[in-house]
Amino acid sequence: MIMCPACQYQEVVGALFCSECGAQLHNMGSLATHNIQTNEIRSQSFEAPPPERKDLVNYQIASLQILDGGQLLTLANRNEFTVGRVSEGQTIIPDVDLTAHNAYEYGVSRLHVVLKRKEKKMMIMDLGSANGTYVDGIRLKPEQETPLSHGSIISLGKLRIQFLFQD
Amino acid sequence: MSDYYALLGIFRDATKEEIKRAYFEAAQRVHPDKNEAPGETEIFLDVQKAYDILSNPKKRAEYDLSLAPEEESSSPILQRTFYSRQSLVRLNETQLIYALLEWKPRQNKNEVISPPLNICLVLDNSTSMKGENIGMVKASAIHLIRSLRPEDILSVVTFSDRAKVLIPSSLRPDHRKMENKIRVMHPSGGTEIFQGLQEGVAQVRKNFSAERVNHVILLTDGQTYGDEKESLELAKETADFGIGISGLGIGEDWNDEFLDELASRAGSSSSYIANPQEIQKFLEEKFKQLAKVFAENVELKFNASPNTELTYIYRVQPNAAHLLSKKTIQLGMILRDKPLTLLLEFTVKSSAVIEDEVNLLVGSLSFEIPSQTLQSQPMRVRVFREVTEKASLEPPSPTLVQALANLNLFRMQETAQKEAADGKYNEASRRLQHLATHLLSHGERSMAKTVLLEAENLQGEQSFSEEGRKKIKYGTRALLLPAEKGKN
Repeated sequence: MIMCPACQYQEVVGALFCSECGAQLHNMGSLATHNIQTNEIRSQSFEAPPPERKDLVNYQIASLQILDGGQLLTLANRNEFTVGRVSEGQTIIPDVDLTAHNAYEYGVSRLHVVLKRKEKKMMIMDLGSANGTYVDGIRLKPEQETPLSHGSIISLGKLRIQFLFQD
Repeated sequence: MSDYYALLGIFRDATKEEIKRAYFEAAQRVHPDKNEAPGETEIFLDVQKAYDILSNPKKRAEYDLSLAPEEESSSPILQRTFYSRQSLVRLNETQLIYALLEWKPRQNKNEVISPPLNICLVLDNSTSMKGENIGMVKASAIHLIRSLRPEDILSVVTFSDRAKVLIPSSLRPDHRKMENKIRVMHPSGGTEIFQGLQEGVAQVRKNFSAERVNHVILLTDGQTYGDEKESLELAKETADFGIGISGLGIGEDWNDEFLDELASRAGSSSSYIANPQEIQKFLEEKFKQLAKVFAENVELKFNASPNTELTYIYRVQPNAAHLLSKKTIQLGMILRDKPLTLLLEFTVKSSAVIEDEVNLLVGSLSFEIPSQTLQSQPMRVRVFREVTEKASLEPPSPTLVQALANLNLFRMQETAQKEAADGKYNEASRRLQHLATHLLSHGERSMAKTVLLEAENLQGEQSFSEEGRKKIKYGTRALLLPAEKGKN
């Protein structure tokens, strides 16, 4: 048996979604935070890193780089990612959880934005977050898709993330 | 030397069970006690010999080596299978595995010609259709008549408490005359679906031909009383004859379970038309779909493997629907430009994973291709996985995960409806709240709102509202349809 992290329901091995609360159960593998030589990155102090870090970034897939800390989150294997933070008693878990990056203190909502792959582009949509989403300083209207480009700076509340994507 | 596989009518990779079953059937058919025709006894002896060799793994392996290689598969249909896991794990408990099966034409979609249509519209003409509904139906029907090609056949049957052939099926139709007949439709009386359906099927049968797409489209806004059973039996017979049935329900009052069951027996599904302005859109989509048929009467026949169970089967496209797991499943049609996609959930018992390989489903897919006069040979369908000691770390196919994520939402509302029907209002309401959260994170704001409203209704009134219930069911079902890709 496996246990649903959201509602503690005992689910049969091999289930990909909890039949009780509907939460996604399987680990998508590469969705976890990748700590890639963070010591080296941290030792360099930079404002906004140049996006050409070919040694670190696989440009086939989109990545998010947390500007305050340098960790790289890879977005792979699916076409849609919700980004937010986990809190207690929450039934839905975002695909990309920013809790470890002080998301609460920075004002990230539980379901803040969704990133969607559309043909060769990545789109971003604010899900009605409390503190809003900014892309390169411009505030997004909620529920409206906006295309992202390589190197864009996304602010979820006060948390700043750089978007890396090239095909 | 004769081909023993052909003699028994089985595939070369037939399982032990299939060989045994085929042998029993053949032996009964040609048993000397029953057959006195000259030569039958020899066939019976051949069947005996075939079984003797094929049922013995060692002899079978030797025999297989002596066979000429099978001709390169020339099936007009391509098959693909995706799995949720690379392998089953040798566990001491029950496990689940999902498979996504896909069939599409081998030919390029532009090379296939559209077969001529043979369609009957069976239109509800009861009192409740008065006003906007009938107005839109008339306008849509006239629009369809104008878009017919010379080779297409369209008949129209109207029904209330009795059925009437408004436009008979004809090979040389007069389109002007047809339009005039539609204009004089005048709704009155009750709703009795069986009579209308029977008359509609009779019209399609009149000019039935394997080279055409033969289909009945039933459009209703009400409940039928007392003739559900007859209607369902008729749908089954109709499907066996090679005619499909689709159902379109307008507004809140029609019985979606009945119409779904009716259409699913004939390989299609029902659609929900929330308001009359959409009637034309739905009818046109249906016609467009039928004009794109590549293969019809697609049937999956299979035998359950011991220790594994097919626990859920869902047709993702075309005509999304939850299908009942039976030995023979009518799957309907394969379109030129979109694959026929099935999502299957298997429950595998611990007793199955003792073997090194588990057959989850072994069977065959039969179909008819209107544009090809020759009868097509059934295709082998085999869903299987090897058993390993450790789980593989490879992530599941993204296509499958995407489909499952959406199916997950559809199943949540299914469960909530069942719980509500069983009087478990609190459970149903809580489940709907979960569903709403997931819908929100998918960006489906308005549907999430409908779902929350129904969650409240369940708490207060202890029942769904008909409108909300249908909206949720058909809305979550629509989520499963893969997004349209630009052109097509």
